[in-house]
Amino acid sequence: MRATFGERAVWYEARLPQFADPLVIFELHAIERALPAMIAARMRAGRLTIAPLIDAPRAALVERLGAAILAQHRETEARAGALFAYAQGSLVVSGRPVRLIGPYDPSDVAQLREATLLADCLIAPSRTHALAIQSLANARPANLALLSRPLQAALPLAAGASIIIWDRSGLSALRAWFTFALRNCAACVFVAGPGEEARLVDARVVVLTESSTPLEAWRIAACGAALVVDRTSGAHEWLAGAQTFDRADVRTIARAVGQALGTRAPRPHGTIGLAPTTVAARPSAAEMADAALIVRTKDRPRLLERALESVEAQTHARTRAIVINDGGESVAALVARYPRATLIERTKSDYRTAANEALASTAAAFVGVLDDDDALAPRHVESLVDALVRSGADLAVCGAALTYVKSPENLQVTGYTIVDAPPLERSALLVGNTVPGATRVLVRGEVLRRLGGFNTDLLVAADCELWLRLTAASDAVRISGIEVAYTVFNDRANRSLSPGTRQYEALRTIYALHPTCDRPALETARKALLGAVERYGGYPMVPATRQCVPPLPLIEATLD
Amino acid sequence: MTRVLATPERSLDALRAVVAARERAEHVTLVLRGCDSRAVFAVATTPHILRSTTGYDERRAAFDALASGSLVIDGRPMNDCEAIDSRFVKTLRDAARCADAIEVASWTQWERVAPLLDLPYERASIAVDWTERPSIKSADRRGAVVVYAPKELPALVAFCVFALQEMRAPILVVGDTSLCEGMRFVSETGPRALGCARAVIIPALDDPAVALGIAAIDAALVAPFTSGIDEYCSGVARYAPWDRLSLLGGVQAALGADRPRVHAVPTSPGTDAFALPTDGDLVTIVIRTCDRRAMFERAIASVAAQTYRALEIVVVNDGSEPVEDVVKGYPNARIVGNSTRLGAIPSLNVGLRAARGRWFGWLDDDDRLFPDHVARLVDALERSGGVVAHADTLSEYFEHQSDGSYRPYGFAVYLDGDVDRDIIHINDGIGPMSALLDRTVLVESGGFDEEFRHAEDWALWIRLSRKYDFVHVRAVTAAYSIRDDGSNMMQYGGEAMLHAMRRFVTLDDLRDRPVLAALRRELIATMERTGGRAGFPQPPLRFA
Repeated sequence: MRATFGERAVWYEARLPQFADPLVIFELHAIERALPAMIAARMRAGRLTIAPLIDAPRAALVERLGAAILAQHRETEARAGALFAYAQGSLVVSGRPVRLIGPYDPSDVAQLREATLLADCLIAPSRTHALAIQSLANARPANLALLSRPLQAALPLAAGASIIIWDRSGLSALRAWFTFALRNCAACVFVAGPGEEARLVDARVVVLTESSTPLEAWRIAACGAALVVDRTSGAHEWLAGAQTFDRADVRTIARAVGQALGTRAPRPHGTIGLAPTTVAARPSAAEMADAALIVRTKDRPRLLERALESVEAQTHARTRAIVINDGGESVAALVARYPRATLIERTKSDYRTAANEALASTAAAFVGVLDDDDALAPRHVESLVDALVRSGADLAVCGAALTYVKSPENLQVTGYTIVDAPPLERSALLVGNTVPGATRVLVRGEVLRRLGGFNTDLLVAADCELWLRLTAASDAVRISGIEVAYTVFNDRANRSLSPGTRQYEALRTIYALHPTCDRPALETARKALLGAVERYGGYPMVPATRQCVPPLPLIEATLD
Repeated sequence: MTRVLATPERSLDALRAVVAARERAEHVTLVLRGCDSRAVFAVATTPHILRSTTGYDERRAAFDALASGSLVIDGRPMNDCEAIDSRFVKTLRDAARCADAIEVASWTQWERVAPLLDLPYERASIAVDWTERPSIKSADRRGAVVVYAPKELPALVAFCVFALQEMRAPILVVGDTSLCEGMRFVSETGPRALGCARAVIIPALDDPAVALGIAAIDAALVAPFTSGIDEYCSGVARYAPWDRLSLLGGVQAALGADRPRVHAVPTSPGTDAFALPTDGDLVTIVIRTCDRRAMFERAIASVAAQTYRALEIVVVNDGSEPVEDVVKGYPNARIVGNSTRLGAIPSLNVGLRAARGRWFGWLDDDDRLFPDHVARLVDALERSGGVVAHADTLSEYFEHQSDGSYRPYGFAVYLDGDVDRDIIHINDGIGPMSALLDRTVLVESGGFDEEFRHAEDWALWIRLSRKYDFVHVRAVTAAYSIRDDGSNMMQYGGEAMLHAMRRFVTLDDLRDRPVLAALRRELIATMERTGGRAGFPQPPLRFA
């Protein structure tokens, strides 16, 4: 599966070799449309490779503001002054200092970060570019692959005297920017672009305006002229002897030309090693372990169906679902369709005891909870069981994709948020639940039984109380993947989000069970949290959502 | 090939070692360590946090403030505090400019250090020396979390041990635990600790070598992302070396992860160490001297030591003290005597008329060239087809001694500007001896303007920049001497400098460039106030 979002993504896609994993190529401005596709790929295939196409922020700002700056200042000196101020970050554009102007919508950047959390592998045409993506998104994907391509020696050798500004974009503002930067060159300066390759015959130095990929530089390098490239393009990584400039500082463009005059034509050099993206062999004990997922449900057959589909799709063969119908309409016919599921029907509803009743019915080595409104990515159980077996820990946690829908009755998706697995710190857990949502945790069944299962006094936050008991004796492990899709109802129909005094009561109960009298700092934090919960009737367990345009149906969006 | 290890605190030693190697015509690689400013800041701050806080929760809060950037140190927010002394940064930058290659252990480090030191990419060299591996091959009695830091600072060890306090597993430490007072841990020897490691933390900030070695023992690995370990080894959990929670999270991630696998060897872009020409068209270097015999001896020796062999040295003696005996020692040198004292600029024209080379350069008797100077510039001129090339210049600072000799006290690189047709009217940022140009072009343009009494080089750059593009070789190939006794022309020749500035105005009034003209007027007004004497920027650090 390959999906592209944005015009440049289509152009780029045509230059990429085949990958086995699903691949999503997107321009940053199209990320809102790309993110649902990424979540869908992750939930369906379990693996995902992404290729974000972004310009480094400073380079992108030139394309956006360059025309305005040049238009505002007409005289050479005034322009030079303005561009110097621009390079220093002190230029004022439309009443705001340029260093305060971000080239990207902050929401797009936030989603880029989420995309890097979702992906197993990130493709970038150069290390420079990969680092630019990572620093913009403040992210470090576990695997980083780099695309490498051979040089295409198709252009004639140069023997000329002129300086060519080679611009693929055709943007007049960009061409003016570079022409102005080279205004003091004594040699002839020409602007040329695709279709004007004949110009290159006369080139002594070629200045490339391309800022986001080295693809054009690879092509032009064969012409034998000295090459000057944007340092955000990463072309210099592949072409020894290429000189670099920072396009935000036009003086560096002329400087690079001065240096390029005396250097040899660039030559391609060794590629950078690719990180392996294959999955290593699993520990044998993990494959033989039984895993049981407790699914509590009540009158939400459509969502339950989605949850059970995701259990059937688990790559861990010995996965079972124990569905406990907590006093709702019978789901016997539905559950019978899924070979991995067994059903416990209860006539009387008691949410607090349901999980323990299901737990009593299984002897599985690893036990998890799958709420009927959530769904699992195919490698969820496999990844968590592997982590538990490797580490010997009692609980493992993964990251989650949050899907915001209108209400249990109206499953229109309104937004997405991706959250990484947080570090589990007992001190923080003693104050509040830093790992909301039990579905992303898998625990050792034997330990769970020894500890007496879930606390039956708690209607909400029973999971948090369990983590406290588990972490008292064992270290936790976390895995970097996003293996769960949570559903968040905008009408606060989620039990943990529902209004009322439930959270307040739960916190008081947990605080009494796990006292921290000897730690005044934690006592203060607990008081502050209790006060806030009392005042505001709860505390937000999930981040606020962005609007998703256009709204998609939940079931189709994640499974079809 | 010389390798010079550089850290911020030892930057001046590194710079001296680099310059010494350049004098010996050796290829110098500067190996950078300890330059990640945020990590350095965290290491420097850790003892302060441990000293000024008591109890686990208070320390926890202080470390979290360090991670979020809101820590207050002695009443100042940490944003105000300098991680690395700016004098060290400047000195390191100068050392990097003088070196042929700059070596770091990973691309990650390059990306973090290059902006700080303004490093040119083409000199990047990526290399890891991981021949030294621990003797242990596998971990048998697993269960412990090991902090493996036998050679690291106590602050780095304490940071790691503190971050692990909430773990249930035993914490074994290999390293200096002098700052770990009151924390839960057990000191252990290397092989014993690694033998029962479930996870190993290797806190080395910028060297992945130890981590690569330990990857062989089949335990989970945790290392700072600043080390760049993930470029060589997959399955290593990373943390930010200033964020204790990310370290705890890193250990939790490592425990359940696939074992680390070394997947790549360091790849370097290859530094531009291409062969420089040793022969070709004749180059003439004119040395003008005037009664400074000791300095002259140094200057002519530096020209004679050029690796480029097709070279003639023309000495113009404008002083009364004879130098024939010195010149006689160099077969490719000849002396062009002035019968009467002509002054510096007419002497230079005497040298120009006597020159026979295709390329022309000149050197004052108090300055000197590095051995690859001519070769680099000839190479650049031939590649470019240009007529004028210039490189960068190191300033050498000398202190006058009571016995009349000079003692060096510092280095700085600031004569490294570009020649731009506009800027050149108000700023001459290149060392005169760092240029090489086509002699015919110089002769045709009238040689050096004898109306000037000083700044003849500046006048020449202005004149040539109207017609030609200058080729800038970004390498330090010459040294300019600055003495503290006021014996530099720039210091005593204030009137000559002012005269030169006024002549620039006569030659080109910049009528069509009002802003540039105003800037120049302002510069002249400033010089008139100071008598035209120039102050030299002082080196950031002085020799001990």
